[in-house]
Amino acid sequence: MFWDIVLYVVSYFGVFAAVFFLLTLFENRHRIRNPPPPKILPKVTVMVPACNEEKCLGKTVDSLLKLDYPKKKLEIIIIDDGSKDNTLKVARSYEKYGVRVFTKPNGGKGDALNYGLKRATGEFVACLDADSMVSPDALKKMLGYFKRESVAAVTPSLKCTAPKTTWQRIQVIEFLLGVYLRKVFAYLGSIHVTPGPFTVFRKQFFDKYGGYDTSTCTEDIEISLRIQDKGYEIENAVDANVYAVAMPTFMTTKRQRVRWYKGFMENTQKYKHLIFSKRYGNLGLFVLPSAYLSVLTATVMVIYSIYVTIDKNYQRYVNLSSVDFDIWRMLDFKWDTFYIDQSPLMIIGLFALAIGISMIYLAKRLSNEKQSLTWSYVIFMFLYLPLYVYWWAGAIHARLKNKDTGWRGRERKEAEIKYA
Amino acid sequence: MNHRQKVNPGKYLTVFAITTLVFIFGILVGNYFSSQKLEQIDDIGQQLKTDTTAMELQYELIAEDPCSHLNSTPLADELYEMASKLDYMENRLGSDDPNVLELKRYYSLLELRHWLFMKKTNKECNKTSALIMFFYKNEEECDSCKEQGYILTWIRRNYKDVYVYSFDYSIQNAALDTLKKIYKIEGAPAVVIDKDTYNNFMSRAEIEKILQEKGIEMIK
Repeated sequence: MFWDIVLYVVSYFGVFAAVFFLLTLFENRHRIRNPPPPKILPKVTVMVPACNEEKCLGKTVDSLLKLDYPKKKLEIIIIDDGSKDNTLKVARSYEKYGVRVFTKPNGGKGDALNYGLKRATGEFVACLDADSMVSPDALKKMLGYFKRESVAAVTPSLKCTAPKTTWQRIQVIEFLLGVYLRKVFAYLGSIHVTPGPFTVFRKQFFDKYGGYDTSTCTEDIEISLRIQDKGYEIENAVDANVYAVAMPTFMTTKRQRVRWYKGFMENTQKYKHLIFSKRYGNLGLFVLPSAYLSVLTATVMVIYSIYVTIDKNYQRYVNLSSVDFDIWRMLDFKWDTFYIDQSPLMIIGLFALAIGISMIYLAKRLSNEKQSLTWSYVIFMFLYLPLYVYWWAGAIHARLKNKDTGWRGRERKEAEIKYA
Repeated sequence: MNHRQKVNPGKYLTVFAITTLVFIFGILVGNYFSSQKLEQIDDIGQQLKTDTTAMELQYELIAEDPCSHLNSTPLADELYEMASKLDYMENRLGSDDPNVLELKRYYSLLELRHWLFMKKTNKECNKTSALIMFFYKNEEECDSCKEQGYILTWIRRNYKDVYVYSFDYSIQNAALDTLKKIYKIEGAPAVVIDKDTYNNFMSRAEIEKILQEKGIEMIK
């Protein structure tokens, strides 16, 4: 009975949020297309901060050089953040294409970006993590949104390249859900993460309100909350695709997520006046509280699943041990539809599952994703929730212990070592 | 800059209404399926009642050599199916659900009727079937009842001519109360093998020993 009530409450919140987001997308279905880019294209600076990225930096810069954008209007800056490998050498090899290369002592990603900001000459600036690649048409698709003076940043659709490992398959779906949610959040005026890979900012915002916050491990969350706090808008161009290589192993994925979630906690604490504040609209009243509530919801679901699994299997073990594990004789092969679970919670769960599948489908359609994701989705369904709770537990532990969660370069380096 | 989206309370109310409708729909549909399942169990019970009556009549009608014409196995299988489905619904709806309780009372009477008939044919037809009665309570009140039930299911599946009748000790009706008095049932788990009562948990080995002493063979 206790668990029934808990599960009903948790499911109610889950279904409420899912319906709310789906309805938002439906309401704004006529606004999905991006506004056209300005007739006179502005100058854009793309900064690539790199720390020990010799293996992937080349592909990242190649994708920037292939951007469908006048070369005179595109400035590419690589900031080597005290790499100990050949990152600087790789970067220098692009100087012949007009890429500007700087090197500085290691200070973290935020510090590297601030270094770049001081040297950027574009009216708009973007950052591209050195493990990401941008599709040629992305920039033009994003710039039209800046026609409105209130728009300070435009986010792209961040997706994963073709997955190879189980952990990457999970992230492919996670990123696609991110694509869907970011578009919905844009309609709600509630984007609270401007992804490191290729979010375009109005440089004027940095000039007025300062550069990236170097004290946080997720400067992308800090800057987006700051933009919201100052009353600007963050938009999303859902078909401007940017690809990142997903973390290949369990440990690297965990380290990255722990950093993200710890950063989320740090920054929502910094901007706590946004939460439950009517002044900040949907972001304050629903989206940010929901982010925390979703952690609670997932935790309850996972604890319940563990409890049921242990309870049932313990009784099964006791029973089987009493008949010397004669499993063969105790198996029931008769198929009877009577035993299919058709309880109210199962019906509601099926409804939630249908919404989940439609979210993935919509994200695929909106962002023109072509790869087949059936297997990834199956793996995601079974593993994501416990992993999500595990990562959050790690993040809360790191936050309480004030542990240093490093920056992306460290995760990438570890991934390469383990994956090699 | 002060560009902030205003909250649309109407939208939140709409979503609240849709979510509530989804829940009402889920609860109604789920309850409909539950009632269908309870009806299905009731149907099995009715069928069982008819079949038992038919078998009793068959026994009376075949005056000459009734024993060779009797086959009570399909009826016992129906009883076990009803028990299994009842158990499933008890887990789903709770042991205090009035519909489940009503069906369990009805099931107990059907079991008793079958047990009496088997007892009669055992005596008159010189059959050696082992008739086992098992008294249990629900999980919170009896730790070892589930395990005892599992062992008896194993016994039934592994031995020829073994019939197991499970009774919820907490269910009260005149027939069951009389049975408990006759066999001196003190609580749960309790097992009655033919005429002997064991007011304690019985291991598989203990039951097997009794069955072997009675000459009941194992299925090969």
